[in-house]
Amino acid sequence: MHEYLLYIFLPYMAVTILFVVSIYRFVKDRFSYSSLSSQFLESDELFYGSVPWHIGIIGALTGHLIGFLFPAQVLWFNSVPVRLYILEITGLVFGLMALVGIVSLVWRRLNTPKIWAVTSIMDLVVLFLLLAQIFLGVYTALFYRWGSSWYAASAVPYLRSLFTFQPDLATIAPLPIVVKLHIVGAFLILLVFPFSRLVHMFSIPISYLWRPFQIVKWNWDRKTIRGQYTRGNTEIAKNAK
Amino acid sequence: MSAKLVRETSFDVSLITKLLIISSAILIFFALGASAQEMGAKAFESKCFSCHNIGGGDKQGPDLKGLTDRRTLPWIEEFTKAPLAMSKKDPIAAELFTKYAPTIMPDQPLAPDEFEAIIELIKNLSSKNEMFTPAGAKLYRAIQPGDIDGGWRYFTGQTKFENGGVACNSCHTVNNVGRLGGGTLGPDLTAANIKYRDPELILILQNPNFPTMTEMFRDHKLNDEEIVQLFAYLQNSKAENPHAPIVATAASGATDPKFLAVGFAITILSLFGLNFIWRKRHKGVRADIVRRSKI
Repeated sequence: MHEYLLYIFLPYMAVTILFVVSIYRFVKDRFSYSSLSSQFLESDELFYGSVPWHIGIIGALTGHLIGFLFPAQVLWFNSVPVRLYILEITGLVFGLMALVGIVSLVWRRLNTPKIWAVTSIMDLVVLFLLLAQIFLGVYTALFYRWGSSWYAASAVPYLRSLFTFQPDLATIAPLPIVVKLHIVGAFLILLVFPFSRLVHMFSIPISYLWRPFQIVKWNWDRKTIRGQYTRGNTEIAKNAK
Repeated sequence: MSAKLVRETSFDVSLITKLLIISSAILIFFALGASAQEMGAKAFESKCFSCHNIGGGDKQGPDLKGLTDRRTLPWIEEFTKAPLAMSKKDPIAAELFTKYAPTIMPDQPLAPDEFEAIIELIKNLSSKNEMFTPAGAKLYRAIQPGDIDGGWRYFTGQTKFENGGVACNSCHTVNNVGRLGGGTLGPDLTAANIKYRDPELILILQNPNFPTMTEMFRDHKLNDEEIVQLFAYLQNSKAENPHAPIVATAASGATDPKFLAVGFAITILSLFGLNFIWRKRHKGVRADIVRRSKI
């Protein structure tokens, strides 16, 4: 019974809520589509968390998407052992980078008073879900190898059965609990997606790639700057003298 | 006259009908009996024989001869459906699991008529003191020297399975199958031919009756040629690793230290690499911004 709840009801509910709430939020509160960046509050540790996290998660998600869309081609690629090993190591590295990233981001959020002050419950939920999901994924990659191959014969038929509205749990039912939790975790993330800062994925500023440079000119009040820096030994203070 | 004729005719017809009904009933009875027996034998061969004998002695699991005298039908039914779950509450089941460790009997969701047919077969053979002999547990041709390598190519997916099955090494490993080994979602097959004797292993290749494989290979059965070559490969593995440990039919959940080490090493290198690529992120026009942010 709980299997139907987790692997049929949950995904359909999550995706429905994802679409409905995302559109509603876009219509009602367009400017809330944000990653809620805290870079202004703290940027040093953010660099060591956010960069590996995003590289890792984009790589890992792309891998999952390719596996889902082109299972036969992935199997063909994996039919030469060396290629299989290269693909699996690449996937593992993306997963580990995401893990390093998310762990440092959690650490930063809990240990930086400024960041903690702006942390919402939804932020913590998102961080927990992502941390758990990445941990389960890396665990699967390490201990239930080679996912890039068996994914094609277990998770793909299941996911496709969901898309064709003929849910079939037969291929995922016997999978280890860690893998099953990973599947449920993915649906839970989709479920909280539209309510959280994750919506920033829908507003990736792709146009940044081709928009013209912006020239930033600092509108400094020279007197104030001088007043601020007289005690320090900064270049601005020196230049001002 | 006509009335008599009619009566005679009708009498004849009814006699013929009766004979027909009786004979067809007898035929159907025998046919059903035969097909039920055949069904039982077929189901037992493809789903049970790799681990159980009827009258041939214990294998990976106990000999099922006289099973129905030892246990009640509801017990057998519950155990067959979910052996592991039952071993946690039933002392007899728990004892069986201890006795046959590390083998864990996978859940067998048998159709009711299949279950009945197998029970009938066990009763039947036990009462006659006969042994179950599988009819189809044979290779369709003799093994030739090239088959070991051919089997390895099937195992690793270099040669595709005709019916689209996934390569064995997606989930299984065998000693020396490749530099980082095979998969670990399923058990290590190095000792597969030690754990299962030849006919049992052949039957498994024909009809892999394990929870994960049943579904993955339901519509992707191996063909006769593939079975011969894979069998040759697994047999060779036995010859090369005569002391390989027999493992449980479960996810091996192990990892190759080399895979782990390479993964961690590249991750650390990548992290340093990122730091190198962005080493100037606090310099140039940003220097002032960074400095001001620290005040």
